[in-house]
Amino acid sequence: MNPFIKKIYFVDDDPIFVFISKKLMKEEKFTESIAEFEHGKQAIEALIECDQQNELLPTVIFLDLSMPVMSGWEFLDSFQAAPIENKEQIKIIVMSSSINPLEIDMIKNYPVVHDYIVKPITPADLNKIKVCLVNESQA
Amino acid sequence: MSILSSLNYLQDLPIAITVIDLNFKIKNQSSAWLKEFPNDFNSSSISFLEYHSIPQQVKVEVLKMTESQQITPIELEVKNHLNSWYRWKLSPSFSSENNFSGIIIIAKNITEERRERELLKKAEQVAQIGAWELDLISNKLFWTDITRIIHEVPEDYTPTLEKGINFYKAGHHRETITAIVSDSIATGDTWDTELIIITANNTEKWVRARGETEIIDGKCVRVYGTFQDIHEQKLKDIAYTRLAERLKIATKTAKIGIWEYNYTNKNLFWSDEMFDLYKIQKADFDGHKSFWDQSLHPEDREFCMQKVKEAFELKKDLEVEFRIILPNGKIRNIKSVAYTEVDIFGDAKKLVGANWDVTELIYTQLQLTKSEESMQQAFENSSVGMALIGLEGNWIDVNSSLCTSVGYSREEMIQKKIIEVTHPHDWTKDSHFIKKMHEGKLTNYTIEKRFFHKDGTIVNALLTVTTVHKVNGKLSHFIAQVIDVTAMIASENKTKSLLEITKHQNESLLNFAHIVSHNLRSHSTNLSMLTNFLKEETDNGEKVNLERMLSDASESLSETVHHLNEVVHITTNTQENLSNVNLFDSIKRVEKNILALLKEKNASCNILVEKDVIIKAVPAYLDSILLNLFTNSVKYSSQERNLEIHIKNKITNNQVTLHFSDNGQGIDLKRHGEKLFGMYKTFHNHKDAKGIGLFITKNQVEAMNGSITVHSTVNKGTTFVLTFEKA
Repeated sequence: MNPFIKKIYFVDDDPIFVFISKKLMKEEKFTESIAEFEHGKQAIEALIECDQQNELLPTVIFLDLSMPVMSGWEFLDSFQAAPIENKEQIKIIVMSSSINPLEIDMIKNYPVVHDYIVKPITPADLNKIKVCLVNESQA
Repeated sequence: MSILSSLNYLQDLPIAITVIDLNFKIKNQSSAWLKEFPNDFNSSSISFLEYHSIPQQVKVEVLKMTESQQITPIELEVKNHLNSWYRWKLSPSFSSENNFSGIIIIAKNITEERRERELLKKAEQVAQIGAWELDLISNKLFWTDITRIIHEVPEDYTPTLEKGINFYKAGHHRETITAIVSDSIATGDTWDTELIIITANNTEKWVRARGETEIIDGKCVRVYGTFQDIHEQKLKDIAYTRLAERLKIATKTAKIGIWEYNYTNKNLFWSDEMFDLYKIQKADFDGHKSFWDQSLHPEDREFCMQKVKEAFELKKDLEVEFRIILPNGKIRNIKSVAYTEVDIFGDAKKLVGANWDVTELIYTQLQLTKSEESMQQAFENSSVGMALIGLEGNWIDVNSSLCTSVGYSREEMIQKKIIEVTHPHDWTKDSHFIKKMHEGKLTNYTIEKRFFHKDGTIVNALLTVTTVHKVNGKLSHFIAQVIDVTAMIASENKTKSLLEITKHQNESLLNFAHIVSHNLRSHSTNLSMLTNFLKEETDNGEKVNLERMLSDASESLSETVHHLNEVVHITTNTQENLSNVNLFDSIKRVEKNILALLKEKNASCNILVEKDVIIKAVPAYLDSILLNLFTNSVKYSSQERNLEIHIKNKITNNQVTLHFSDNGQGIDLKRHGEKLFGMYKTFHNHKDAKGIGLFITKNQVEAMNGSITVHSTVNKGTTFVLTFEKA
């Protein structure tokens, strides 16, 4: 059975965490392809490129918050401002090791954020996202 | 015959009499006549009409009588040219044939009588005393002019008894006069009464009516008397009586005793109230001065005698307070005020005065003095600063507590205006409230206010001002209470800064906790996941890969733990390791250590730090901080230009400020400012960036009681500003 999701973005600067997460998704057959980015700047540039080339946009973006160059927060600001067609169909999942309640409150201020995951990613997290997407497509 | 004899007889009569014939010739005359009207013609046959001394009016009457041969006698009173009055009586004389033969003229000198009557009339007018007469036989009432004037009736008014009575005011007055008159007619008693009449002009008037009776054969035939207008006098009397009555009531109610002392005969008069005051029976009073002496308290006796003596000798008023002992042994305080009455020779004759009991007053005064004293004590000894302030904003009095607060002596304070010791920023608030108080819209207020201490420092105080009113309700002065809160505010500020420190420490603790949780968590997550994968992995190549990753992850963990440890060490062990360090030497040493690195970048260092600046620092931290700053400048130097580093210092109060500038890449502070000094934050896509250096630096600087801030422009350079404690 082919994965339901065609393409996702994975934005995190911790290579070990990226490795682990990719391995998990592969086992869970979560997506057909994963694009990795070390920080937000790379990710937003790739998105704009994608849009301009009329390539397929990612269905889900997994976003870490603390990264060098452009943090997750800055990425969210840029994403909201960026002129990307159909960007509202992209689901952004914020990932963080932090259990800081202030941070969680701040995330709620970003309507583009679909969900918040405390690291590490579990099969249940992935399944939840999948179910949500399937329901949406059937509706 | 008879005539002759009668004629001879005529000569001897003791009255002035003459007989004239129809030709007015003097036929006979008495020697009295000759005396009154001397004959200066030297002729025996003279005419009556030729007499100069006989008034014309008499001559006319004689002519008329002769002509008409009138037989009724005529009487008239005429004044002659010598101002003498005569009563003339003209009677016809008849011949033996009973024919009208002439006139018998009798002249009676009535000048004296007349004068008396005139004088009486004048006196009547002057005294405004009228007279009246009631003839009980003819029942006719006669009034004199003055009586008419008093009744305000015209001159030709004819009174009757009934009319006269009806002039009296209806009721009491009319009944009284009716009773009196009828009574005296019956008994012959005289009367003297004062009653009100209503005059013809409808005016009420007080009159005095006196009456006497004339009794003939035990029967009253005439009543007469005087009538006097006493209206003004009576009104005065009534007013006086009322006043006296009122005074009597007043003195009685106020328990004021009135006394009079005659110095000459030592006689003493006491009013009833005096007996009440002295609690002595009126019957026991002997009217002698010694009576008063006996009541006096023995200790006050001599002094009182002295005062009385002085009053008489110096003719001055007496005012004295003394004690008396009542018959029941109780002591009362009496105040006596008297004036000295002086006779026409200027000698003091008697003292007239008043006595009243002032025992309660003295007691109250005593209480008042006590309470004033205690108020004064409270004012003086209060730990709260207190002041009485005049309406002009001047100090009337200040207590020592307030003086202590502002450092001035009481004398210096009172010389000062309030505005002079008030902080200018607080004066408007004060004057605003004072104005409202003057307008009566406010009775008290409390504000926080700053005063100036004599030494120029600021005294923080809580000021409460209350108005004090006079008995008449007008504003008298203000009472100010000043609570010096300078020490309180200082300790509050200290608490605040302590709180600030605590808050800050708390924040950094929380921050540290989050850092710990964040960093350790990410590592532990990675480790546990990798371990799980490794357990399940069957492919050998992949296993090697996972093991390598596991090793990396555990190394990162140990590195993180090491960093956290370092931070904990910095924040806990710094204070006791602070020592005096020469800033310039430290900079030079660090520069020397990385000289190779600087040379490689072709960097130039411009160190403008004073050589003798000593700061409090942990030498190893200072080295680490400086090294981090240098290496950061090298790491993030611009590729477009050679690196230039400028280091300079400033000294302010207890602080040394160090400016460390470079011309490198700079940092976008808008984006990264808040996170610059956080753990594991890097802002450059640079392989050497670990995001730990500035975090450690900041902790080290702050541990040494300093601070670090940054100014930067992208592509221009960065300046770090550090402060250190001066040694």
